[in-house]
Amino acid sequence: MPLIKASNVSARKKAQPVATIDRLAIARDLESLDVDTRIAAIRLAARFGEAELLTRHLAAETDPVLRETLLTSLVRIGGVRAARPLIALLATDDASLRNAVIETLQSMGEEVLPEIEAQLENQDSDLRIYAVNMLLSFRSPRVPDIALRVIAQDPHVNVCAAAVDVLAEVGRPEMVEALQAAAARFSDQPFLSFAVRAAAKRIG
Amino acid sequence: MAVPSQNVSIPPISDEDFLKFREYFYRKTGIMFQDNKRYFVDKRIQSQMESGGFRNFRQYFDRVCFQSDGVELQALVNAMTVNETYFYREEYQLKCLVQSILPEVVKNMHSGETIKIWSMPCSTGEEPYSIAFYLLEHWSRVDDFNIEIVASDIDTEVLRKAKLGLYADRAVQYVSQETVGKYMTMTRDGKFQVIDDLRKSIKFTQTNIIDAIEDRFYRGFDVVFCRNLLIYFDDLSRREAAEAIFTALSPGGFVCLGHSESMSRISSLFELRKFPEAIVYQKPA
Ligand SMILES: C[S@@+](CC[C@H](N)C(=O)[O-])C[C@H]1O[C@@H](n2cnc3c(N)ncnc32)[C@H](O)[C@@H]1O
Repeated sequence: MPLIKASNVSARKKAQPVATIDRLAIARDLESLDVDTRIAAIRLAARFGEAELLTRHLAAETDPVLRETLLTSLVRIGGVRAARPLIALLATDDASLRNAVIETLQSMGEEVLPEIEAQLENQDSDLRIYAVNMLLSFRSPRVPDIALRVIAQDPHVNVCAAAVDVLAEVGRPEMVEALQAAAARFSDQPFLSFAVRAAAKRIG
Repeated sequence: MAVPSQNVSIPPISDEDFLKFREYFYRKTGIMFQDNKRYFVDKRIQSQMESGGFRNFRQYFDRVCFQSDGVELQALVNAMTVNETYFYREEYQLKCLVQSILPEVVKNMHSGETIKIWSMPCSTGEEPYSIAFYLLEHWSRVDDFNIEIVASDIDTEVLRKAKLGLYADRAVQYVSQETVGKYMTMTRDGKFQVIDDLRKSIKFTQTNIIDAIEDRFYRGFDVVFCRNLLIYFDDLSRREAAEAIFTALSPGGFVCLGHSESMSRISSLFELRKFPEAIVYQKPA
């Protein structure tokens, strides 16, 4: 009767202790040409919280599906540990990678907000714009005040404009004055005045 | 007579403790309890605390988190999982297996080669046994191949029951009497038990699908049944489960999900395959 035989080799009953996994092999497997080997290595790296290793590999990973897997893994690792190396990738020239990184950071929750906030001091105005654009996805009560600081201080009009957009969504009525001050600071940039008027109308 | 009452000895679970528990359990299992499950979760935590003699949540939770052999955590997992299942659930997929999937899987195989099927999660065993019954009854080439069925679940208690293969008549109501007669014996108390040979031919193992350390032993499957599990996960865990299944499959292998589940929002790893009997997913060859 036993038409269906159990295999003795297919699956071991209990996983082996973590110590038997060769961590160096993970880094090596990430470079493998075989997709299956790479994906398994990504998942193991995530299990060990190897955010830096994964992020380094992210820039080199050409397969879009595996990129997705990498990003999932980084969300799972989460927190500052995963956010820092990801933020470092924002400066990449690869727009699709950058967008993926932004989406990933946005899904990571409030605990990474301080890391995003730190980018508001970055020399590169593009990075400051990315940081401001990300603010809205963090449902933190601190977001309006962070945006307010930007419009009061940032020397770059596009960064301020991004922050005005944030305030249009989550600003409070008492912030209207600061918005108008920002418009005055860049009085030679009519588009900002326009955005400020629209924002003030929404929250005022 | 003193009636033992939970409320006397076990304090209620505070909101903060609930959130802490939920996050921890989610990280461990991928299962996300929504707020509307609060009552269910509280009751089960309290009953675990009571049976272990814990007086407050903190004491209990410390044990769950830090006990080195993980016994308390396993008991908790067993208590929290929803194991509902029955024989021939979503039979159209079994039909699809024999009429469309397997014929494609074996197209380039020779007689005597091995076909590997994974029932994950298998709960109390109804699913893997249904697969076995169905193959034996409805697949004309069943004798030509060496078929391995591996059945896994995170819950050790359901696995124990699965190995025992003992069911009330309600569980087998959709299986024909003839089939039951062939592959099950009736016990003295009117239950049905899967015959020994068949029970021994299925390999039952414990695994946590979202743990990359545990599932690295599962490789080379031709078909994975992953039904009615993803519904308990949030998007992130679903994606991780999809990745685990992907690595477990051979190129060209198939995944069958539950009828209310779909990969489309989860993962672009798989291709959609529309067969006359069912829609399934395939790992690109
Ligand atoms: C509703 S049953 C599904 C059984 C069967 N596949 C069916 O469709 O009837 C869900 C099972 O998933 C198992 N489970 C939950 N989380 C799991 C995880 N992370 N890994 C493996 N199994 C898990 C539970 O223990 C439970 O037995």
